[in-house]
Amino acid sequence: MISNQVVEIDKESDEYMMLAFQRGDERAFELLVKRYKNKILNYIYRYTGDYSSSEEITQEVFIRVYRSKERYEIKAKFNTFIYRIAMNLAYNEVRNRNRRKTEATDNFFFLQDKSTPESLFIREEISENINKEISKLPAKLKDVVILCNIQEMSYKEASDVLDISVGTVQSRLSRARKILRKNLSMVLNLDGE
Amino acid sequence: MKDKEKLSAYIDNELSAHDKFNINKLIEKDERLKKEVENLKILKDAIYSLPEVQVSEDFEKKLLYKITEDKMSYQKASFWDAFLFRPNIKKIAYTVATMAFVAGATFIFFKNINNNVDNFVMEENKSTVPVILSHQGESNIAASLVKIDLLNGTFTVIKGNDEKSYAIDKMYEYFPKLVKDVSWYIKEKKNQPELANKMLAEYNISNDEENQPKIYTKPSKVIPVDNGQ
Repeated sequence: MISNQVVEIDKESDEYMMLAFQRGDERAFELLVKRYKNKILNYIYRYTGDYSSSEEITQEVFIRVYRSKERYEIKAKFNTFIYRIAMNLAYNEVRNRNRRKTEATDNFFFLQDKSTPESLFIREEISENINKEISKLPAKLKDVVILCNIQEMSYKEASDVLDISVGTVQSRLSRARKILRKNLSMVLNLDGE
Repeated sequence: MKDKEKLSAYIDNELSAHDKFNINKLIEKDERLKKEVENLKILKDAIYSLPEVQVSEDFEKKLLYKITEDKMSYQKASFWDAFLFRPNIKKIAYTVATMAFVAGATFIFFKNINNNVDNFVMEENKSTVPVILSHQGESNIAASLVKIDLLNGTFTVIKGNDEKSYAIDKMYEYFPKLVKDVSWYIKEKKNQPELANKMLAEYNISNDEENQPKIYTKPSKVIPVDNGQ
């Protein structure tokens, strides 16, 4: 697993870009958008399961980053900062949708896949099942799965975003995987219990 | 922490060197645990391999448009915020608001006074106001209530000497200070007509030497009910 371990403020870091943006460099903001647009979209999409609203929310995330540039402090990692915004907006979307009681649509755009139609179909079937099981997880468990297993965050990074301890991230992820392992054992051909 | 819980952290390479060493030893000895680690890795890879979604081609263009719109609405709002919440403007606004309030309250106060006078006149057959008139009989002073017709300049006696207490009560209702003075005088100073004349002169009312009430002078002003003290 590749983990995001960049802490130092080098000239390519997100934090440096954010500082440059605070000083009025709009290109630094554009670069941050390029770096994070798909990560944030995927995070929100995994959470909401609806592509069209996920893109709207992703735009809202960047608008909020833009608005709050003055409030950003260098002591906070940029990805913690942006994922917290994304997480709050994703929560709101799911909550509002539950109130509206509308079904999420699944018309998202996959990366171009060069596989055969058959293997593509199987992959889609498996993916759909996994997505369904992840979406059924309690919110607290879903958070850690998305952040650690899909967004490739370290436990420390996830704990910063979620404002919980590293130990809690570890135990929640373990519980989430236990549930997923049980419910996906047929789909993934997992042996035994 | 249970070993099974540690397995999840083990596949994520999030265990301490010591815990990792221990789990490695357990896995070597326990085939079931080894299989469990393999299953967890499959699950982790399957989740990680979920197809990614990508933003639409015009994502950045749309975002730029939204940000520009947002900036414009923010600038409009911040202009008014800055205008209204600048310390000096704030002070000026408070002062103007206070002055407006005082002016408004004063206007309403005086308007009410005028209304009282007007209402008072209206109540008394539109053009009449009652006033107290006093006259000196043989050795005492009596008060009488008369109606003064402001339009026609005529006077009608409502209550005369024999009902002076009623007249005084009635006048108290309308001209409290005047009645207070007169009633005090009637009670305490009835044998000193020169003092009565002096007191009545203050109200621009005179009395005569005859038994019947007689008007010599019109009252100079109307004293409203609520403000006659």
